[in-house]
Amino acid sequence: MDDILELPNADVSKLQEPGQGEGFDDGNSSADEEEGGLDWTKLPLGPTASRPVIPKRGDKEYEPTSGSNLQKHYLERARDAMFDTLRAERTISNKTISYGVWYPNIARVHVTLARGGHFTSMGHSVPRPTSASGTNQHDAPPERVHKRLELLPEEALYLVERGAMFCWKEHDLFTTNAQQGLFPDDMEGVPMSVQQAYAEMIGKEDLTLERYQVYAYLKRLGYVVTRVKQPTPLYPLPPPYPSPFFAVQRKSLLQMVLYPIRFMITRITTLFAPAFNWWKPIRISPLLGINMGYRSIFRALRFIPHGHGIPLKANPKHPQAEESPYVHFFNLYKPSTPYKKTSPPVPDFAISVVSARTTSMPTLVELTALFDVLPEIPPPMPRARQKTPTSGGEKPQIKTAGNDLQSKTPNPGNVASASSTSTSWFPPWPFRQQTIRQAVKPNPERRPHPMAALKQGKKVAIIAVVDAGSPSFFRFGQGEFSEWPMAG
Amino acid sequence: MSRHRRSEGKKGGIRRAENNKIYAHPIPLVFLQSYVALGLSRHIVLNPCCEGYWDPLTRSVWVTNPKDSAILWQRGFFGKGNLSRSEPSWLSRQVNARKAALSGKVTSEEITTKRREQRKRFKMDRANAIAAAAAEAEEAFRTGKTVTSSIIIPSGATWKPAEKTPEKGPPTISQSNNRQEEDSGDLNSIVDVEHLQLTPQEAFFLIWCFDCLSIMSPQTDEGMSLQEIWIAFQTCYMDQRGLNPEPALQLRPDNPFLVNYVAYHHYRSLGWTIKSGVKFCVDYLLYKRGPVFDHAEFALLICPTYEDLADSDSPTRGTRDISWSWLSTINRVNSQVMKTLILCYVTIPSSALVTTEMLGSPKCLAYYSVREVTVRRFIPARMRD
Repeated sequence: MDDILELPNADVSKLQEPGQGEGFDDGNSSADEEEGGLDWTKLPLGPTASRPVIPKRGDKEYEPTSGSNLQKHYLERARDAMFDTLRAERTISNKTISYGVWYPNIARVHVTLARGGHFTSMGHSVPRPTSASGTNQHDAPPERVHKRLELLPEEALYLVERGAMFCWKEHDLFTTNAQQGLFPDDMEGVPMSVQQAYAEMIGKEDLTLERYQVYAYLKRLGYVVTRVKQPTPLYPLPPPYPSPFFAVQRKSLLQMVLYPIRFMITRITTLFAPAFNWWKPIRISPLLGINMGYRSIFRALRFIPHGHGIPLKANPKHPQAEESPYVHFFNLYKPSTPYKKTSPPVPDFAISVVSARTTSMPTLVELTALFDVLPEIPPPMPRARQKTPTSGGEKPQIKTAGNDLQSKTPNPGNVASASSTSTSWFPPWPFRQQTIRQAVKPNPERRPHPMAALKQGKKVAIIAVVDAGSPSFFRFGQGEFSEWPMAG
Repeated sequence: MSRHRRSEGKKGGIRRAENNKIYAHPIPLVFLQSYVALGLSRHIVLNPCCEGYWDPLTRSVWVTNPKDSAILWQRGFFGKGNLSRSEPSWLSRQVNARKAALSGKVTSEEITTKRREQRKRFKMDRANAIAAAAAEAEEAFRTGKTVTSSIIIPSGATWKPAEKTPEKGPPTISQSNNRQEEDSGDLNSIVDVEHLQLTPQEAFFLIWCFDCLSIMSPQTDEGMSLQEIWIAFQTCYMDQRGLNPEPALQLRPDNPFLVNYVAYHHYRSLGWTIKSGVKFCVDYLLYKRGPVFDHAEFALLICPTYEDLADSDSPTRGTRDISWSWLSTINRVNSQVMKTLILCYVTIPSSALVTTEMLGSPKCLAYYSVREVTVRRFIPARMRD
């Protein structure tokens, strides 16, 4: 098996595997949330065009009907098609394959020949000292430091499994060049099979099998996945999350002036008011006009401590405080986000990975620890309706895009409706276009829907739960029901 | 089809306007403004002063007076009729059953049974059609011919129930006429055996905050004081096997009544209507206005959390250890019915801080806290853009 892998084929037939093609979609119906199986009979075999065909899922039968030849025929046809597709030989052109060397002691793969678009989002450059080859060990050769591209174990394993990289394992025979002429010139190590790569790379540098499965799943879908914690100081980190500036903006100048006056008034009234009676918490007095309406009664009822702002009591005897499995591990960037390797932008999501069989649900302490490092997200704005034809250049806002941590500014769709009222007295249309771009004030009529805001919460932590290979993702939102009361 | 929708919309609008009138008050208290003289007006508050009996065996408060039941249900959706789905409607269902003719008011149980029968008939029709189509396809496969099937499989949107045979028409009308004369006397003689059941949390909320309910003890038939009610509601959740003679001396902060009451009070204070969520594997369902207006938006699962880990091995319920498979199950069930699952973390103070004495008064509620966490699925394949 290794002999075949050693020298890549000159065969140009590119068979896009359905599980690993970039354009692969689930092809599932909108009603079902699961990933669908493929209709293998519709997949192309042999040399195909570069764009893969996205197959639709076939109809499900309700139950096996014994004695139905039709059903048996369909089943056999589907099964044969699947096996034939899987049995086909997977090849890659020798002009597109990359090469790398795995160094077990530092748990990195050094990419010697990088090809293809993978490395725009994977790998980081590390300066390493190189010794000039072929010199006597006793001399002290001048050590040159030069930067080389290195991959983390999960990145390397993903590329090897995909077939986009060929990996060698580092060996003394190749570095000292003592056995020159024994091996071909372009060999840089002992060739590794995919199985060996799995065995070597899983377990190194905090990479568990669950974490790798989540990483590979997300990479196959097109996301850019990086680590939250720097494995080495040279690993590029995204900037810290933006501070909630819109929380500060809420206090206007008028409020700041009135605040001390209001403070004094409340202090004086509480001096004269009777103390809170726990046996009769709501005092309704028609004479004094206290709590004589539904709104004031509901407000008076809110005396139970609530909200995530209340600090949790620290538990010094907590044995699991240090080793909580719930820690952000991966940063996720959507495929549409412009990602630059040397200066990554603010991530879209932060993911922690746990195993379903061994870990139980997160306790409140663990969830709070996850939420503490996340920024607050503005509530999702409703879909903007494009009324004016001049605003054709703006892209429509998607309703569920509230998860995006980068969307801090109000959506441009509001601008269109805001400017539609003011375009009546703007004479020529070129000036109208300019004012649309300049007006950034959000439309006061468009407010977030309370239900949508409640469902999203203020902060979102994503937990990937891997159960024997299949990951499921849950969004835990930090809810604040007291900010959206239904009455009062 | 547009005409059909318009007529349905009009009916729905009438029903909505009716519901808005009937269920206008969110709590049993009613505020009125009465004019005294010369433009001066007096604000008065009307308190219905309902009565109920405490039953520790079923852990519920029984309100037997039909007027009180109606008031408690209509003003805030408190309680549940013990012989009905939600609103105490047993009597009107019996009356409707005696009358053969259709009356204007149809109770929710009758609507549900009619709908379920229709759905069962539709499913039978559909199953027959699918079986016939499959048999045809099998036949076509066997003989090798491709035959275009002429069987239409009915879909839920377009199916209509089969018309009843017209022979049964005239006899029923004459029969019902005779029966009506007989039953008009019987209708007044039906004794309403249904009562409204309030959970301890609902009952305590009504008594403590609005003072509109008074509870009688079943043994002494006298009104219970607020202190007695507070203790009784807690002790009914404790071990009743008679091993502890003085349960009031062994109150603990993780009593299920306290934990549930904290969550119940918090969401009621925000204006939500809270009903039992046992149908969907959760503790409570949150309605924006009430069950008659719209389906519940949120399904609440209460997760008690001990602040002091030394309390974890307590004889009462203890923390709920949910595994991921159980959470996935609940989430799946609730997303199927378009509800968002919410984990409500209620922190229980340590028993060293809140002693049994302090648990004798509602002042201990200040030591609890409520936090909510929403749970939704994240589908990376859909969140790519």
